[in-house]
Amino acid sequence: MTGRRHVLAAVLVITALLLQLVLVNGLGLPGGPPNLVLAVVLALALVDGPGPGMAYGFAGGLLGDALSSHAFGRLALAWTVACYLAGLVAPSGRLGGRSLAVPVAATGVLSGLATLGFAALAVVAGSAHEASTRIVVQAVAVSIYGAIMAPFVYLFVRFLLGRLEVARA
Amino acid sequence: MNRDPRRLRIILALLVLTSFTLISIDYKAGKNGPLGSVRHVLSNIFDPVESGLSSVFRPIGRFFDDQVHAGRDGDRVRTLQRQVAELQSRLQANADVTRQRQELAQLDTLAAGQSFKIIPAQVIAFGDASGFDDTVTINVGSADGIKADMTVIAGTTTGGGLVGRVVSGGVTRHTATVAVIIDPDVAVGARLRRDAGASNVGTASGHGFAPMTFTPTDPSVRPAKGDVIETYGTTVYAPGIPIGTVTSVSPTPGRTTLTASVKPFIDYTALDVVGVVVQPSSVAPAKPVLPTVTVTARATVTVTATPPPPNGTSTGGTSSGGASASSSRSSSSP
Repeated sequence: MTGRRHVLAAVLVITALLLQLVLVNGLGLPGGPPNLVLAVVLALALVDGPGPGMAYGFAGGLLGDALSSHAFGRLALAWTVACYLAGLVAPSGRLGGRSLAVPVAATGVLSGLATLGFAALAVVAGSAHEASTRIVVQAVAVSIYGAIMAPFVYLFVRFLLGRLEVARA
Repeated sequence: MNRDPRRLRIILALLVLTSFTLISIDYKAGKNGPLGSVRHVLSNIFDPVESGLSSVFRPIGRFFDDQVHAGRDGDRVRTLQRQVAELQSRLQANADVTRQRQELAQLDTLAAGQSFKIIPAQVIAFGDASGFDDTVTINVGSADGIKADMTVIAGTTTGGGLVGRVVSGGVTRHTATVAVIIDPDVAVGARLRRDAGASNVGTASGHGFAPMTFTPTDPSVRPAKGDVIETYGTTVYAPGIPIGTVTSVSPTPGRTTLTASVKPFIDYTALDVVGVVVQPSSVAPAKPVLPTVTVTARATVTVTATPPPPNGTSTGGTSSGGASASSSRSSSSP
């Protein structure tokens, strides 16, 4: 069962990554591109909890690192921590109520923080620093876009993972 | 699944450690390290998929991008929105073709003006999953003769200019990664086009989505609003390619030189058709410009016989073409 879950998660993350590179980054939205991949791994963590969440964040981050020109491990590190925290916020993967407030807030805040964390790791990785204004602007943009996408992405991910359970039963 | 918090924290710590290890390995080993080859293999798998997807999604992205950019021009918004509503998708496709043709024509003019040999290519992907990576992936690669550090240019509907250079380690068989000039890692040897004297040289640097800057090496050089910045011609960037126009000038903090804000001619997120310069000015690289340039330079200030340093590079083939276009503006240099 977890095998199929992992396959589904992998398909979701890879699809999101391709969409990110081919479409989203080229939209020219004010403030910087929304981060669809991050929103998806956070949604996975919000549904499945901190343990699997960390794994999704780490794997998704590594894949993102591989298809980039920055040092390997930067996205992986930032996203692992963000997904762990997301998993903690939604214990046992089932939110108490039907409210979407928790996923929206968690995705917004954590995607902004993950973006800041990624930028901060430039120091460790020894690469050129972005202008601090851009880092802040982009983190805020990612955070806002993340919160806007969150309900859709979260419900979609939960629906798909839920289907899996039903199919098994 | 595992819900023991202590155990989770141990796993978290392990993953964080692994990430740090990867960062340091990658930093130490650089492009040719083991992680570099992982990267290469993965790009080889993903790039063809991106290429296919982009043909489906680009029109959508293009449509959206147009909307977003229209919004920046206050008054025109409503007119454009109404027009767009009327035009529908078929006309959008039509406009795409027209625009692409215009861009290609401009690209062609640009290349012909500098007698470059170019290979046309299409942008298939932008940046990476972090959102901080100012690169594009194009659909030509080593199989088409693309090599690292080649200059990439693009035509726009209003002209065209420098896009960036092919990054080393970013070339696969059928795709290549291009570092765009707005990338903070990128610094381009540039100069003011108005009078192509060698003392006009400086550095154009990217700052992400903030405007680029141009800082002249010589403090006496005063860039002015409206000046065109072009490539100077270094080992990487072919000479005489327009980069952007100066929008404002301010003092460089802690220095005597001025820093000019530069609006690039190309628009990063609107990039579509580009050209890779596979052969910079095949026509007599050393001959054309240098005589005229040095003559004027010597005439003005004898001390400015500083040309030697920049001279070493292939200044040569530079802006004889460009000069005809825009230089004959009497400037106020002493």
